[in-house]
Amino acid sequence: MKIKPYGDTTGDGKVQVSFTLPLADGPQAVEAARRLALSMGLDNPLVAHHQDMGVGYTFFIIYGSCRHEVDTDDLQASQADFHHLTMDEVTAQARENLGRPVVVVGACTGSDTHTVGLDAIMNRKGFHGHYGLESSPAFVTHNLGSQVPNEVLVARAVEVGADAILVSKVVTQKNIHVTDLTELVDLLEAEGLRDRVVLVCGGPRISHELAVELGYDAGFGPGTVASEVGSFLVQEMIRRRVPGAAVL
Amino acid sequence: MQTDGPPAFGAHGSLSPHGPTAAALFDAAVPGAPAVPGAPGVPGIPAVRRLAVIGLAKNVGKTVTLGALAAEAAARGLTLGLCSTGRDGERKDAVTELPKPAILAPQGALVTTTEDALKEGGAAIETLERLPFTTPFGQALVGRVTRAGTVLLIGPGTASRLRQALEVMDGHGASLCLVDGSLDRLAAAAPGVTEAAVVATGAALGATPVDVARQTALALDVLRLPGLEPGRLRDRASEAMDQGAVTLLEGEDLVPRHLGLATAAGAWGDILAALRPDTRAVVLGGALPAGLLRAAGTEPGLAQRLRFIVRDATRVFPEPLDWRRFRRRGGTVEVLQALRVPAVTCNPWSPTGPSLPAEELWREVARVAAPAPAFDLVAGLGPH
Repeated sequence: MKIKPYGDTTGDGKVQVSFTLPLADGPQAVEAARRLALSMGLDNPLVAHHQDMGVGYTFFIIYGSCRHEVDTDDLQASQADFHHLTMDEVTAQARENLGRPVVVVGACTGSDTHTVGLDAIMNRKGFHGHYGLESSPAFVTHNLGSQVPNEVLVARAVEVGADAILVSKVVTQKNIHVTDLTELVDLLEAEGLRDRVVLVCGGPRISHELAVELGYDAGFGPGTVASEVGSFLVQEMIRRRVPGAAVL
Repeated sequence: MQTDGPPAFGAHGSLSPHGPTAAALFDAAVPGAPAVPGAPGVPGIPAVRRLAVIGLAKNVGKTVTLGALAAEAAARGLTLGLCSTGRDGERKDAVTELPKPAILAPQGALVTTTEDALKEGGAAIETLERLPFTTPFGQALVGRVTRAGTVLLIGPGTASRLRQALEVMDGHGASLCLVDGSLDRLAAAAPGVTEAAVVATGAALGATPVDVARQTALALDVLRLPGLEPGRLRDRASEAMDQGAVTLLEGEDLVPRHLGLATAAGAWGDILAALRPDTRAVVLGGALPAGLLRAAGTEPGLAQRLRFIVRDATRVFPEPLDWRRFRRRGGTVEVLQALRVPAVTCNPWSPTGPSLPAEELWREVARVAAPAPAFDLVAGLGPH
């Protein structure tokens, strides 16, 4: 099925975009914004708002009809292989099949200071009404926080006998997220640990597809809640048939 | 400012570059292969049977390099095995959404991919054997190309599974396996997985040709770390490596002292504290992490006095500044298994910044790559 954005009627393609141009406000700037919108594939662009930002910059809001459409039959949104259970169900599944909690170490690696996503997944309070992994007896969590060098993350994972490593990457300038993430995989390979941990990354610019290409077992994008990551971790552990030690 | 799009060959579905440059690259990378394309008789078995193509960054031209090697191998009558450590031959880059070059598999080639990926390319592939693992893109398998065309390679993400895949392709008669490393990962180049690695570098690494050459020189310095000469030190190091993460060899007799550490990662403080005046060498069973290199380069006299020994160059994790200081102060790392870099390829196009002048970049890269030859496959530059 081919679809377009919906504005007033189905298929009218109406969208709104906003941007700033390095031009002082005036007729020339408005025309420049309109031309840009046309090149962006918006028919009948209407400059609904323009405002001088000072020092020769102008902010624009533009309405228009998007020329492009998306064929949903063609789409293959890849995602990690798991059944999304509630955290209580995850806990029950772990209790039944693993017989011991999953030890998880998480960090924002490299220069990354943005722990909001990591905390949302790992910490008890969670995010948006979804409690984090720490809230479930199925997990023992170690949240190492921000700016953790890869080697410190690996050292900690070894120390606590981690079953899973979660890495959160927010900053993507110059593809630093890719460099940091691949270095961690290579470090785990060098240490002979790669096959022994479930390796997961997440962040606003992370897709499952990218994660897999980087050598991770799964990747989670924006809006992910803890029960999704928890479901994947437990089900992946079951798949690997890690023998259980103690009762939960 | 140059705002060039990807080069013309970047369009998916088109052929990889071919010609004298690709032939020269192949001769450098695979010595002992039949020299005459299509030579009659039984094709020779090349001296290198597993060759990795690794990149020093994303978008430096790994896939184009692999494509050129594959086309040459096919022209010379070798049975190709193709695999990737990630995903190769996809239409669009997973990060930038830019079109990627296609991988053309000749008839008779063996490929490692997944069931889901079989229908993605233009080639017809018959499944020969399912591999004992699934990837996040489906059940892994080895197949044979029954009608030439483009392929999507989906590979095992871990070195141990990659080895399994290579063994299965060997078993089905591959005379030369090419492994496309994903992004800037090095694991595909580990001795024990492959025998040599062609290194791809390019404008994605730096803003000027000199910058790119500097980064490339550093990476090659590590990749080409010297192998330990046969002898007592080598024997002792080899034994120690299997017994622990960190072992010190001490005194004239190189008596091993295991430090009881589970990993050298994050343990530079413990390692430095354990050193004695007669410690001759630090032997690492796993990684030589950045922290230890930093500490060894900072502590006066340490870099020069101690020998650091690792299994192979893929175990070394240098931060550029730490590595340069360590080297400046006379530090050296030796390996049990040296990694061969028979050739370097360079790509002047960058996805993130302006492209660089091809000939100048090639000259700069060739300077730091020597004695290995450097090639720009698209501009047709090489030592020939």
